[in-house]
Amino acid sequence: MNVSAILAKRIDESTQTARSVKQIINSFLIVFKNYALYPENHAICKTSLEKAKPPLYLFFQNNFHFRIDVQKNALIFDSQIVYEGGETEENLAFIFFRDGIEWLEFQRGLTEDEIDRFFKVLYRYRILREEAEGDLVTALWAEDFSHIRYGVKEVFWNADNLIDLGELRAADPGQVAQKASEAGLIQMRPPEFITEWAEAFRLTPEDHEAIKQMIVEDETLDRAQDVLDILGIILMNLEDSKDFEEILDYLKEEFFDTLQLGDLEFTLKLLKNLHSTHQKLRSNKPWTTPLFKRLFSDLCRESTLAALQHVWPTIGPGHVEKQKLVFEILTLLPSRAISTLLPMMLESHPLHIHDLMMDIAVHLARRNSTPLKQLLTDSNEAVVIKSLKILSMLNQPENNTIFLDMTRHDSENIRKQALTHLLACEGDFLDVCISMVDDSSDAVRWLALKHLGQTRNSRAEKLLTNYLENTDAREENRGHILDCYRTLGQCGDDECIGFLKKTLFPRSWVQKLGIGSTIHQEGALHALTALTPDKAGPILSKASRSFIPSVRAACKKALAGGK
Amino acid sequence: MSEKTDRPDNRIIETLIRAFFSMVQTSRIHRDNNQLALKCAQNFVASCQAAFQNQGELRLRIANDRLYVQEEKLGFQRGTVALIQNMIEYLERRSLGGFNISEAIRQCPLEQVLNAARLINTAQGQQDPFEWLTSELEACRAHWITPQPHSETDLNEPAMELKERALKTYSYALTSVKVVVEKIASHKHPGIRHATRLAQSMVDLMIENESVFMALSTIRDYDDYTFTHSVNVAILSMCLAKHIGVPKQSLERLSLCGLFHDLGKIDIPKSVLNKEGKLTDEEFKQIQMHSLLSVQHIATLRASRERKASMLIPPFEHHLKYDLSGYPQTHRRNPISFFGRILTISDVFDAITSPRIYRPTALSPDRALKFMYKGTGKDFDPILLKAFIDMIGLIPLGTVLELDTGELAVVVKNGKPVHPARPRAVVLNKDEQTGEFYKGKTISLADKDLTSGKYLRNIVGTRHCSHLNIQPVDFML
Repeated sequence: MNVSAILAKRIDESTQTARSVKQIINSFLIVFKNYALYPENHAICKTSLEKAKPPLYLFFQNNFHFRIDVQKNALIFDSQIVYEGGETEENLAFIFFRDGIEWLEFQRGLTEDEIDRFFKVLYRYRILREEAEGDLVTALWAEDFSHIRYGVKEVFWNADNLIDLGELRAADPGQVAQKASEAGLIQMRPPEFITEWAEAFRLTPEDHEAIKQMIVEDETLDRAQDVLDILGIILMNLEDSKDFEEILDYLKEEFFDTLQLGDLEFTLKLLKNLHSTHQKLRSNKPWTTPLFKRLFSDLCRESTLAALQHVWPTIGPGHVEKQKLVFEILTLLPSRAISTLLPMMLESHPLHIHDLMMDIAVHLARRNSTPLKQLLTDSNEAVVIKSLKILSMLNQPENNTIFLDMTRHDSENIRKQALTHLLACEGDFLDVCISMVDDSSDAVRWLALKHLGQTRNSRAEKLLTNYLENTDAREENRGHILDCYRTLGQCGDDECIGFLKKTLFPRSWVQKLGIGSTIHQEGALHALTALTPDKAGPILSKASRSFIPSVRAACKKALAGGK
Repeated sequence: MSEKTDRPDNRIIETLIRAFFSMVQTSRIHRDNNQLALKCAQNFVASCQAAFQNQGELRLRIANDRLYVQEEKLGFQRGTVALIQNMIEYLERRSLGGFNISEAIRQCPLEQVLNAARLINTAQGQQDPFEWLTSELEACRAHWITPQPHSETDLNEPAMELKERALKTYSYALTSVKVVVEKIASHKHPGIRHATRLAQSMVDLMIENESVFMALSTIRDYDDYTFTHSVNVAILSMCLAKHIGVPKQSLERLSLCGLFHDLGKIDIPKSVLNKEGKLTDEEFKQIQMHSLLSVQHIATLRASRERKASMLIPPFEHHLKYDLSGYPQTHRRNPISFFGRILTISDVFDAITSPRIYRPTALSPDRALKFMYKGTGKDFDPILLKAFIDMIGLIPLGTVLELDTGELAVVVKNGKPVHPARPRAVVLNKDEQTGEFYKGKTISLADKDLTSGKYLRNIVGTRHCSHLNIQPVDFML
């Protein structure tokens, strides 16, 4: 081959290399850009990552290494700038430079998994957070790549702030001399003595096996319980409230993390330990009590109990143990946890989870119902209704007043629930019901009348009679008035007969002639059909023979209905 | 910048080393015609062939605790550290520097390959293993393998650069601990990014050259003991852990535990820490609090909870003894953690070999080991203490030796595995005018007079470096 042919070949090779380097860098940049725009698992990211691999493998067909040097804003390949950008975290070169990476080298043999992991590292550390505990360099180190190497410059220290080792004194010669004269320093020892020791210190195969076991155990050990124990001991020993608070903060994070991970047994242990430490310190370190209270209060917050969102889906209907653990954990929290739990209960959950939540809430409220009562003023109607439900499950007579108050709530649904719960309690609620007979809500009125008409009851009879005597018959009230009469028929006995008779057979000529409203007459007939036949029968018979056509017609209708 | 390299892929080398070990092990117990032994020899030949890669020869060397293939240093990877370490130790035990294996192995009968393996095994225990093996292999016409003499020189890294890097790393570590301590003292919450990077650099340096790294642990600061102590404990713990095969990622964690294990001392008044004479009960109680306070400070570092949790236990335990005596005494009766036991050994060793303001002289490293050995099984995990002594040597690095020649020397490399009690040392020459010591020649206490067969030098005594007011590291690196 002549010189020009060799030159041509080299130029050709060089052009080919430059082309593939450009392809590699471009594909890297696309992946990096996509990672900045989309979540890591997004299809676009995955596709661009897959596309980044072939150019590299193509390059490795003719080369052993792909090495790029890093400058502040640029990437260099073979002394040529192959990429340049601004001083921002969108610039691949800049983030390498920011963390002190001077060069990166991908070697032949690089696996697809290594490429994936490399970009994962880039994704995680493209933005350096102020409180980061690591960066690109620490993450690359941790990955321990077989075919990716990098060079790092220390970016944290400069000569000015480094301790000069030359300045360190191994000893104080004056002191040493003094001690030497006092005690005699040279420790003489014949070498034979040491040789004897050599055998004693030789590790046996059993020692090696034991060490191997220690390493395996340590690598797989769950240290959480030990950490918890130690922090408990530290809490018992601390004297400074700020230090104390810092440890409690740590434990708060621990609570969240373990709960989120679904390690319920450990979460329970943690909480129990906290309670027990609190109890132990209560008397001799009373200053810790407010700190514990604040901690427990923090544990009830939405930000902490949000961890439960990861727990609920993991509990199946048959997971009795898990349900028990969740119950124990949450019932160890202060009752104010209800404020966080209750809105959670409004979300869609399987029945067994909802029931579990209810049990927890009831338990918490039974200990202290104040937080629950505070929720009754919540602007969310559903929260108030759920709170009423829980309150009703407490079966505490003192809550009747609350239900009563809530029957005056603006919300129809709340009034209805309040009345429902109130009526489920023991007590005489006839006055309440009669007061609600005029409620604007059909459902509430229906409830009130239903209650009034539950049994034959002279007080209900009297109240209803009184109500009807003083209620104007208007066409728009027709249904309601008829309902009231029917209820009167259900609860009434002797006393209302007179009233019904009077209503059915009016003295006024105007009414006799059927002029005006016949709603009351119709209502009276409905009441009579519901009354016992021995008392109502003669009146109904008389009504059926009435000369007033409307009474006759109504009677016929009522009797037909009565049958 | 892409370069072609002669060195085969790491996996090919890994296979080759494994095949080598299988062969030498099998050759110990089986005859030449055993099928298993022949199969192992065949595998070895095949793996050599895969490694040749158009080269006529495969060159394996060890130097400065590293393995080189075709003059290129082999990087430690997770999972292969122990393998490479075994290879280095195997060769060191035979005082060999490596082998050249030629393509002639392809034509060599398997029985002869096995025979060579047997000879390599037997080289251990010979007066001069290299000379012996060379002549034996020659005698059986095993021309495909050429043993190489042992060499101390790093094959491709300028020694000075490594030493400077080592000292710089120590200085970073010292500064890093100091910065963390200062921040805590001013009620700030320091982060751990810097310390993590530093811990990783320390692991890398240790893997690169363990003796250089271990030499750093001899640095002492009489005036401000705590910082050097923390770094030294980290170094010694890491070396012990690496010595027994703890994975690389865990070494980083152990390093951080070492660096931060005494953070609690910032809360103890210096007057108590440096008090000469007996401490009062109250003062002793204060001192005892420091391990708890260390944990407290670690728990409040700016880092993820998991990260901090991984560093809390060993510092808590570093004054608890193997039998659970020591402090802090609590209701907790769990055994001391693995890293806690390692940290305790390193902590005590560094503490008793460091001069302190209240105790200007300290035990020489060898005497310290003897002292510690009295507490084996009670104060220290007996197996880990043995491993520590095995690692650091019966006469540890940095020990000042007084020789029967009247010379003083500092131990720079222990004599393991062949001559555990006869280390290599650097002679200390004294400048008569200034009275200061400077570095003399490097000697091996295993060297013998060729005519009489007697050792050229013998140890008559050991001293602590503080007696001469020197930093051993100045002579070791």
